[in-house]
Amino acid sequence: MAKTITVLVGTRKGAFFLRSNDSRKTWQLSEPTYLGHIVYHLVADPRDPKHLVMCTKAGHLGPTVYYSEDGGQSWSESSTPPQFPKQQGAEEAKAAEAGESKPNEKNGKKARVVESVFWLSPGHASDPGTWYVGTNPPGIFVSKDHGKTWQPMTGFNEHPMYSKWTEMGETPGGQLLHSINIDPRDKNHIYCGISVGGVFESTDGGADWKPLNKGCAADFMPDEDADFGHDPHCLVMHPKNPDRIYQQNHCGIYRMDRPSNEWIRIGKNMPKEIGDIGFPIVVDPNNADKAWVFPMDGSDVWPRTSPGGKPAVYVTSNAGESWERQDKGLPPEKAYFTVKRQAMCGDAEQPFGLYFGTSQGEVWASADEGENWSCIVRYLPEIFSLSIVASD
Amino acid sequence: MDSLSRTEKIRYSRHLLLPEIGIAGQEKLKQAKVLIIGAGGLGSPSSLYLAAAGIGTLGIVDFDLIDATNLQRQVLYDTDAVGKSKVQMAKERLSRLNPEITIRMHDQRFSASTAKELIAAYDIVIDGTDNFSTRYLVNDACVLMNKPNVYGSIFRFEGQSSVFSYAGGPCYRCLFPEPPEGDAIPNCAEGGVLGVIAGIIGCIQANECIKIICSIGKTLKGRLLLFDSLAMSFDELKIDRNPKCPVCGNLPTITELRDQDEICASQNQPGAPTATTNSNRVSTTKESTVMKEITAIELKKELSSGKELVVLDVRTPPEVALGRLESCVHIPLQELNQRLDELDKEKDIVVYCKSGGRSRRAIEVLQNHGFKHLRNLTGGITAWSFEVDPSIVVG
Amino acid sequence: MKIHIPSPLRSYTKNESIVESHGSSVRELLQNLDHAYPGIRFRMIDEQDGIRQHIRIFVERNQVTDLSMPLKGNELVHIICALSGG
Repeated sequence: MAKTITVLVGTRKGAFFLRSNDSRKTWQLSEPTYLGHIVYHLVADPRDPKHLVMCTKAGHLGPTVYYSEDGGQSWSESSTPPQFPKQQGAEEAKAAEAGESKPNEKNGKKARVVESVFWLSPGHASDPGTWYVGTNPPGIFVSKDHGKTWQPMTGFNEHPMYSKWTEMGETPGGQLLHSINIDPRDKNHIYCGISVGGVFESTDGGADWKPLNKGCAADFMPDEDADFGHDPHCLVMHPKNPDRIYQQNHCGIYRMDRPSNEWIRIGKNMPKEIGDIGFPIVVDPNNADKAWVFPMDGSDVWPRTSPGGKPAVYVTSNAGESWERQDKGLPPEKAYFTVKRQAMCGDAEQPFGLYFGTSQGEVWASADEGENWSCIVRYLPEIFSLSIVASD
Repeated sequence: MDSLSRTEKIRYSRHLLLPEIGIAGQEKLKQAKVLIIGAGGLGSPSSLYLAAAGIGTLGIVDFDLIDATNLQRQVLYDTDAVGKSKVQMAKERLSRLNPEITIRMHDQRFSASTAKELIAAYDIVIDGTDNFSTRYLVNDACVLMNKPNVYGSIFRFEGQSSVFSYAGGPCYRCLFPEPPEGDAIPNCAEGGVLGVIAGIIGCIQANECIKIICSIGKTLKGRLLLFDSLAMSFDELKIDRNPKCPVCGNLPTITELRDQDEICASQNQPGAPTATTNSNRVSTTKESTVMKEITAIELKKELSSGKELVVLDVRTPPEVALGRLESCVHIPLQELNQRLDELDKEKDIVVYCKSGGRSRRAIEVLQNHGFKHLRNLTGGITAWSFEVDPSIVVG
Repeated sequence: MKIHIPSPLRSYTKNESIVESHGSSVRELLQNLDHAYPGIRFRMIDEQDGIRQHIRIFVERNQVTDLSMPLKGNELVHIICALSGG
């Protein structure tokens, strides 16, 4: 019997599971889990897929994390969800602010409150049970127990440069910390991205961090050569060649080949009329030169929809030297898709399968590396994240 | 004075027998103009009872068509009306119920552009909306137009009601200053609602409306009525007017109407920078006009260097009275359009308000009138007070 | 004392709309409530002890702005959320 491929779908109104038992030909949609809750990210543990973690929020209620130890059949709430340390004097400041919605300040320093837990990354293969989350306002939190409890990563959250790195202001979705990537060769080597803030790197397990934005454009900033303040949308490290990292930025598509520390704008090779703006970027796990993006319209008011109303995926097979359009099966026109940064992913099958979810609640899949696309579910709520888990 | 006809006297005789209403009260009802926003679960019972009670002019705003799932609680509509226009069907039904009154149909979405004009023609507003964006718009419009807002909302087995923006009382934003993010809170379509709850709360709204018109009893002003149908209990909480309320407070930040939908929609799109804080930064407004920014420290430097600059304060007079930048020109944002000739298009102008929102709008206005050398003081006078001159009081 | 729980938080209280707890201040009451219903406090109160934006707490029908507000022990407490339906 063929194995089961499951697409984990995080939406604005809950989590869903899309399963295929017939080599990705047909898909069945589960009943919703946590219907009505915002699910920003839902990921199965690649080290032990019966463990799942999901970061959520509800309209009235604060952010939290749920975890499952039985493949998503039952869920428990983290007993210590990600939260910043309590700041001395914060209460008085808060009391003084009662009834007002702006963040409280005491002695000019913001008492940080996790507004949303936005991004989830499983830890290193040698660290079973370890997970990382990225939050808004920017923060990294670590769990060592499959998501039950979370501690702040002080090296980042309290970094002497933190306030400088994060002072650039919010994006429309808040100031998000995302794209936490752990080097498979070295668990102490970590990358993350902040929009707006830039790409950052740690080589000591998160104790210290440095910006890594050289070569990356930031045309919204007066000083384009600034060390930080850039707006990465999504950062991905190649799993087999971790020296190769790709970045889909607010200002273009980039590649970096370590030990170089300079981003190369491979998006300049995209067709001019399409441009190189988007949210997600996905790599082929078996070929570090192959990557897919989902371009969106980043002109004037930033529609963030498919350029010209003609959705397409673009693929490169030569590390960004050239790009090819893949739109077979996608609507030929009059379709305005938005695909969020967590909402595009690949599986581990042969041939490589690709998936993206739209803000209109459709999941599109290709079982042949993006050549042919079909819509495998419609009418879901706005999709925030997709991820894949396979089981026998 | 519209006096009552013989038919009306018979029709309303049970009201006329009540000393609190009587002929005088019934005549007040006849003269009253009530706008019901949303002809759904709450709007059905309130419009039926208000029509029956003889409200002289009843306006109904809705843009929806009748759906089969509405029939469980929207008692204005019959089964064979499915697919038809709500306001059209409401008018037919209410006219049959009481041909003595005037029913005005407003077959439209209640939006920021039409809200004021619509509300201006009425004395009282009944909030029968089913989503936060319209609810906040109704609240703000009523506060700005100084009209009582009879509030009701329902979910599952619960209901709430109050009277906002009435006789010095609080408004909805005094309790919840900002709407929840987007459509994040489940509505009745998602969470369900017991149909009867709509009837109970809608009737309470009609009741409060009649009390306001006839000036009788004690209204729900300053009180949030909570109804729990499973426990079958009514309770009430005290709501005070919040001096810091963004719309009805002492220094309001909301002085014009804006559709919450737009704000929420843009919030749903993570990933675009809205502002940076390096020197000479630029920020992108909703309309994406490029806007130059200046920090308080940089402004201080430029002023000290003797550079010729016009500093424009666009706050309201009471805010300015509390503290202002020396040698600033003061033109409240609302008067800006009429007073453009007081400013020189050729000069460098730095615009500020309390925290940077209104000044950006002012800059848009000025840009539209050909002003070119414009900069926004980042963080407004709040930042100036914080970074340059702590002696300035920011209201 | 009796605490009214709004529907978004009832998943914590086994769907009970009214629960019993105790405390000599609102802060202590919420801590005790969290012991009985783990996790409920953080959904209402942020890590800096701020009452979250879409939650309001009332003691004896008056709004709480400061968690240190003292309690005698027989007050009626309401936790409420904004409702949108109509």
